[in-house]
Amino acid sequence: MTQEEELFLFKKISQMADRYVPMKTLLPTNSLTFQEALAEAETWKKDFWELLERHHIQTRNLLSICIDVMERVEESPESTDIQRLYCMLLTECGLLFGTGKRSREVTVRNYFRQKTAAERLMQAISEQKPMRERLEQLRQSVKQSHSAVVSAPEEETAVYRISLQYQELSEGEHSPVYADNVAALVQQVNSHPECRNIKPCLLFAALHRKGGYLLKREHFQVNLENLLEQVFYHIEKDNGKNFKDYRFGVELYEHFKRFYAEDLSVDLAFSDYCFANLTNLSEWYYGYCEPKEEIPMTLLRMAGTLKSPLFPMLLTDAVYQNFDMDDFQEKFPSLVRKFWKALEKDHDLVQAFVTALYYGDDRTNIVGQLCEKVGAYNICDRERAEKAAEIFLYRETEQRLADEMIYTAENWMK
Amino acid sequence: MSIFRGKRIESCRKNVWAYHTDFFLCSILCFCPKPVIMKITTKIEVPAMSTEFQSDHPKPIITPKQVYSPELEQTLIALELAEATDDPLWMELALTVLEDMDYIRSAEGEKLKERLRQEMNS
Repeated sequence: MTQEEELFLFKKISQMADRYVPMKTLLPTNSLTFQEALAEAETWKKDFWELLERHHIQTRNLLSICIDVMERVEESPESTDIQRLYCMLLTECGLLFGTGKRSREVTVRNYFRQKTAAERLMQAISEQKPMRERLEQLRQSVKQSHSAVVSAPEEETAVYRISLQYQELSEGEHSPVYADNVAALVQQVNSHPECRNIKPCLLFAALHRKGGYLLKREHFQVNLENLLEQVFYHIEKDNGKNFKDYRFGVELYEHFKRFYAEDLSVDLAFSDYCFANLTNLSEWYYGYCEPKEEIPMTLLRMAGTLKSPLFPMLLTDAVYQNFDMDDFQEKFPSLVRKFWKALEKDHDLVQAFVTALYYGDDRTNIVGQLCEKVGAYNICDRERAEKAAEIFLYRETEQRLADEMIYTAENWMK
Repeated sequence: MSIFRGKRIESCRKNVWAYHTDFFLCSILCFCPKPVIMKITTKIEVPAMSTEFQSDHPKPIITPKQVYSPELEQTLIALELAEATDDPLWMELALTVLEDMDYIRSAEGEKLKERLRQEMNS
């Protein structure tokens, strides 16, 4: 590693140490004694298994539980029991399925961590429908004529000045029409009571999308209806210009959000929902930027963020028994590449493995098929080839299961 | 460009300094042979942005995602996984990582190591 990388790692570990909360602080924060926390953790675990039983979900293994829960979400997304099961599963970090021996302290810490994440996700799920309906009402409302213009000179000037801090709008300082247009924009938004609720989002959308017109065209008026339509940017690739534009958009929204943080007429949670769901700039941020701070995200992104890094743990220590994967990867790198390539392309083989795992059936045949496909028996001994193939199949299944579980959250977004 | 406040300027040859104008603009207009009529509209006078405003309303800065070397990426993932279990294992791993790094032979590095050791033993 370079010295810069070592410094980065040092800072990362320092941050981890800073956010570590010792038990003597963790318990009073949660208003529990150690024994009470341990008892709550056991109850929480018991609740999970009881919910599975109540809803007749197969408990052969983690995979079968996840697949059944995903099906139930599709069938009954409004069921709070199913929502709870989904959230508890996705945030699983060892409490429910017990990976190896854990001390009582670790059990309590896992409980607090998992419970916090699961409750946060449940809250987000419960907010989807009301927010969606509210946005729809707002869209209908802006079609109607609104009341007289409401002027707020200080606010208009502040919004104008905030916008000038951005290179994309800085020429507004010398534009004879820009100050007027920004003032008119703020007045237009303020004149509409429901629009005031999402001012940060509307101002961002207007200045980001219509900045050019606002800078140059005298008496330019934005169409609020258009600002409430979904816009999806091409975030897959940087063409040298688009990423700068997306960065400008995200910074602008965050700026207005901070500016209106104390304004009681603004509903920041609803504004955040609109920002996250009306454009894909939030997705761009989480995909291409250093996530130094959290910005509004869709439910899908939240599911991905709150998912435990340990979920889903299909590979147990038993699978790795007497097998050194690091050694295998070092000795047979080309075979490793062949395994990954084959698994990427052969969906049927992976599906067969998933099905066999779901029903608890024998998977030897499928492992053999993979070895044959990549010529593994010609490269190394049978035993090692088959062990490696099995592990790769498990890992591919884990990856696909994680993706499927995250995308299941879409059921609550429509 | 300066703001002319509601005055029709037929010629800038006389009393030009009575109006709040740019020096440069005055220079040009003074030499202008024909009367110059400026269209005046009522505009919003916005004072220049003060540094106080900028410090009260600082611009948030988004930075691109860092690209890590495979070695660093693996170390980060290992630490993240260990931390996710809330197991003191992450501290052991962190200590191992710190011991391996040249940078950490410093007072700051020793302090962090000591902090992790204390927490592990508490």
